[in-house]
Amino acid sequence: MRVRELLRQAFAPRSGRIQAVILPVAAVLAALGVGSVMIALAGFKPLEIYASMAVAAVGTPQGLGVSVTNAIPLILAGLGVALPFRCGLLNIGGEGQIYVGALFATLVGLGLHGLPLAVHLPLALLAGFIGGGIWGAIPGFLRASRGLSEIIVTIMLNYIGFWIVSYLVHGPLKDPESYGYSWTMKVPVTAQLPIILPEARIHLGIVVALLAACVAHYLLWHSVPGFEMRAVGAGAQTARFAGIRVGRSTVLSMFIGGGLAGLAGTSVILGVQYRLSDFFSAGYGFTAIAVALVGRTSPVGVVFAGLFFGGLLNGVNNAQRSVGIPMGIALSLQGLILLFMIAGQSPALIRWLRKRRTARRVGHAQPAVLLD
Amino acid sequence: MWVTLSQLFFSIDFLAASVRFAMPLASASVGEIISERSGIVNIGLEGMMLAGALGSMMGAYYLDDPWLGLLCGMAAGAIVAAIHAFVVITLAADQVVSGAALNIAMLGLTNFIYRAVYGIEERPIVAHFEPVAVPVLSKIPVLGPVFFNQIPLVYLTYGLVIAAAIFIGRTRWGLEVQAVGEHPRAADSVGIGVSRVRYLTVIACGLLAGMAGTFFSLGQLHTFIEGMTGGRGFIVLAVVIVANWSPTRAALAALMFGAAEAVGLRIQALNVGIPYQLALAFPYLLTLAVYIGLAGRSRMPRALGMAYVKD
Repeated sequence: MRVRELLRQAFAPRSGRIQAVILPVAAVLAALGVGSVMIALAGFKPLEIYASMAVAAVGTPQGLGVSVTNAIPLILAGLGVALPFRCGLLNIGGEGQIYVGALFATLVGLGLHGLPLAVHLPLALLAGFIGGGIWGAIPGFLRASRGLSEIIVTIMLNYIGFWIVSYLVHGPLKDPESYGYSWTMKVPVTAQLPIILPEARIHLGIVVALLAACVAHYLLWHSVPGFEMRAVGAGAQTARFAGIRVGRSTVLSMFIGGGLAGLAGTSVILGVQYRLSDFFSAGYGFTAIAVALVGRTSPVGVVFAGLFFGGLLNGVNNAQRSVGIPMGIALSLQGLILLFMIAGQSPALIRWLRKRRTARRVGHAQPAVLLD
Repeated sequence: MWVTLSQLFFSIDFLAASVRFAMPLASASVGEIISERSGIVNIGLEGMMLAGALGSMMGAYYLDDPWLGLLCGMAAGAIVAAIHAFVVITLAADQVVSGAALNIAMLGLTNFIYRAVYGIEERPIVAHFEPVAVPVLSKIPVLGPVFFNQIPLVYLTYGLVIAAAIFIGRTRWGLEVQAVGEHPRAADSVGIGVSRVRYLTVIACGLLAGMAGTFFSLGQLHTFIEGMTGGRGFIVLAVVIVANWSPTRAALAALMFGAAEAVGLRIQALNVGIPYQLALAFPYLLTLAVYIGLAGRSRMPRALGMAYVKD
């Protein structure tokens, strides 16, 4: 009956619509509450700060544009965490995958000449996906073949990927005509993501991100490989008994996850900065973890969570420039939101709530992620 | 080439630097081992080390004494660990995600507190630890200057490693920790308080992570810099696995990684034609290589990463 149990788990309802919204909102509010204490202790007025952040993030077309532009890499990298998470893997390697993906895309952007945009841009995007995918597939492969923790391997690859890019942009790939900064030459227009909404300066990357979310949704819920990934996430042993090739699902989910993170880095280079540097990723790979879990690791949820965090980053940036609040508040809030998310869906808390209100069902278990 | 290589590896300075870089890893890995032996993974080590680095720097700044600074740093690490303990033991939430969340939060919070208190002006240089030569022992050729002419925190770590090895293997409490990490239900049935033991081990881990962080602020740079632990907390996670959860082996593994860091710095200083970025990547590459090579041989505590909920 193992197989039936497995099927039941894999096809279990994705989570109640209402709590899929209530839990993240409650976690965000709780984190903002703690954050307001921090802000007050630092000598600022929390309500004023939050209000100015909200205005900066969504108050004007330009501000909204910046928020959405921030959200593009966050949605992509968030999908890159969410997909492997469904397969029982925690991808902390987004930062490295972002850098390596951006490197591959930059190489194709700078290396090919005389192609029309319709050919050059897709090639550069594909290269970014493959670069990140390779950086993600390595820990997937090591986990599948040798049982190594993807957590430790992805973290080491973060540093290695970053230093490789750092070396290249300070050395062989450095634009000889730029003196102040170490970065590459500008990618040609044919490899750039064009601006599609000029007033808000939003580039084509938003379409790429939304398409990626649709593909991820289809893959996860309507395809055989996605079903196998979820089955592995629900229980690798059981999945193996059911004849699913666990190793293949592990490598595939990490390749796609890494590829999506690679696209995230690519979108920043081809859509905003146009030059590869070793300082372009503002910790997107780590924020991606918060994005994925606040979006409850569903592609649709990730889109909304990405937009929220894009706005949050924009608001904090603005508050830093105008009143000098330290940038650390952004990461603090992200960490707190994450903590409240997992605390809010913790089995112990759920049991306690059930005891109080036995009639209502609360929460659903996430696949367990283990270090081994 | 060979001349520079010999300069690299056969100098007292290089070996002493290896020990200096290794000891924060050793003290943090002792903490992680105690926690993991009781079944709790603490990915948040990096965040706790950062908390310790800032806490000890602020303690030394206001109290003007490195030892009081150390106590503040350890307390800061323990507070963060207590949050982890509450979330994963009492609430039984996912240990890995909780640790990752704490890392992100502490990276931000330490930046926030430092900036809020000290602004963006010059970094304050605070009361710190200076190397102290141990009488007699420091006179031993080679070994003396390498091991016994260090800051006091290093000597503290030597004692810590030995004490932890005895504690885990040879004391009643140590065996209780192991029982809780191997088979919590069985431990519970013979009257060991699983949650109590786990709370204590996680907080002990936080204390030692705070001490590890103090090496960076009060031992090396004498101030605080954002993200100054630079991923060593994650290297420790690998150290613990390749050391097969043994404190003495972890100390040896830490020495190897300390040497890798010293090699990286040497390569930079000697200017032998290897780009400095690749030299700085070397410790992480070595960690990965050793982890790939040795991890298959270790056996983790059976209940590692699993919440224990009483029926």
